[in-house]
Amino acid sequence: MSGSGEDTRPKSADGGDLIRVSCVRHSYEDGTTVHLCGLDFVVNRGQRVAVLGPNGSGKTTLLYHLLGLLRSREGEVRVFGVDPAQKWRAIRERIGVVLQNVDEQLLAPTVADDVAFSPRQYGLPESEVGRRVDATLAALGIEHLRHRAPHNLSGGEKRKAALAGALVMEPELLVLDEPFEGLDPASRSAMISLVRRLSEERGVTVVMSTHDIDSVPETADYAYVLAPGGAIVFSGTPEEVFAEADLLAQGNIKPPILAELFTALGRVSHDAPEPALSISDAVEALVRWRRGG
Amino acid sequence: MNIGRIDASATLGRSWLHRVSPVSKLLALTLVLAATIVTWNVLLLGSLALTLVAAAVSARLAGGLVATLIGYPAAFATIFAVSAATTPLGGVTIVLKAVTAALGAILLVLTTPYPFIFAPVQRVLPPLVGDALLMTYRSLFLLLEKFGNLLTAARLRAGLRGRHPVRSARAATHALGGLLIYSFDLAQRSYDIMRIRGYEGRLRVTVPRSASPRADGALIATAAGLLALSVTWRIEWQALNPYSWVLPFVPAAALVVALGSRWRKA
Repeated sequence: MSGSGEDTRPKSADGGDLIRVSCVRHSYEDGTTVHLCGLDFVVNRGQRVAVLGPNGSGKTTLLYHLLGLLRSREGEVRVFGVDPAQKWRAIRERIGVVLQNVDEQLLAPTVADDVAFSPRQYGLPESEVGRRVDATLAALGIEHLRHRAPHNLSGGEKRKAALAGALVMEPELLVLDEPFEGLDPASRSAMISLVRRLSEERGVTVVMSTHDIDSVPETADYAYVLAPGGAIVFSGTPEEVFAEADLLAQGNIKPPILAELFTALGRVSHDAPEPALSISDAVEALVRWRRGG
Repeated sequence: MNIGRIDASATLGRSWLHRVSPVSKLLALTLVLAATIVTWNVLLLGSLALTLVAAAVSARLAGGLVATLIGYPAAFATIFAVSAATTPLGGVTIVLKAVTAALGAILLVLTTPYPFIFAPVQRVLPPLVGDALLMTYRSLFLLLEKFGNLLTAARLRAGLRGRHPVRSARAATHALGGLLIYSFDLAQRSYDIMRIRGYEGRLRVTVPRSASPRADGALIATAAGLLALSVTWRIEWQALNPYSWVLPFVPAAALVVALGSRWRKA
């Protein structure tokens, strides 16, 4: 859990951390400094980790350090045991990335070519490239977009195409920067299911920054909270994080509506049910509560 | 904006001409251009142009867009013809040559996405130049969208007003300046993304195979036939010229059929 409590994070089978970020400081050219300090940011194999925080708290800075796009002036960044800023080539095939602005991420003239971008760059034979592209497009249900130009796709389709490009190398780690931003409810639900399915079926470790608090209980099993300026002030399971209403308020983070409902119930009733963060759990808890169980 | 319309026509069209492979279309265009260069008979040139118009109609290309695009070469060729041609027939020949050649190129760009036209060329270019050509395509659309948004914002905030050309020009300049800065950022971010995704100095594009080999064959055969006819006419012009009036009938009939088919489907 948080800095003062016992660490309740699920440990990986081999006990090794996939990612470890310790007290990293980064200064931008405009003088803004992000100091990702406080708790260490640690991710174990198979985890789905959400990074929460207000604008300017350093979520994207943290992700860019994981991708070796930024070099830290202080502190330590380890991904798969190496500093990504120095040894990106050694680990890049193991990492898939979907950045915030997917428009800029889609590089090739058609979706199929874009998905094939990385395998071709890594020199895979064309037959293998074709097999991977077919399999990835099928897995995401976007075969029909194969020959479409990226600029003719909808927001949700672009995001799926970018995700396909990230998944085609069958990465062990998936880094998602605001994956649900700008999506309509249907596309958002589809993306949430997709992220869960990838993690559960393929064992992909997921690190995502998000403002979409309501998606966190469905997509993450662990969360880090960043305060303005980059301090990592809290970590825990979504239930633990959303129980810290004061801390969230300090960071301008509005808890999911269900967490707020159960907090309000707790205020008006001494025997209020335990908080639940999914609709089905909430219904079950409320029915039980109503029956007096 | 025409670039957007051209791209939409090329990427979203589903006609027989869209389904022909880009390589076949490039070959057919080369043959038609050769035919246009070889020919000096006005009726034969007119027949070539009519054939291309029939192809455009049967491919259901937007007539207004084709007319707009053909307008530029036609206008410049007319200026040249007026200043350089010694006879009216010579002037018409010059204009027809320009229009026919341009029509061939327009058919290609309206039915083939830009990257597929340049992919075969890219393979023989130095990697940096080839990659720049392909990256231009994506960047162009990102920048066009951004510029459109900037202009809309300027218009909504009363920055662009017909009655104040100086103020409007200033606002448009600001938008262009913003676009320039954004383009630098975009270039950096694009490179970052390419690096993350494993870029090692060569982009590759798969040119799709023909979805209709018969249509490929028919297109190339027609283009080759037109070139053969032009060469024959050039060599045997004295014997053949009396029969020139027959030439436009075939493409005219094809045009009528294409128009009829389009009208029925509409």
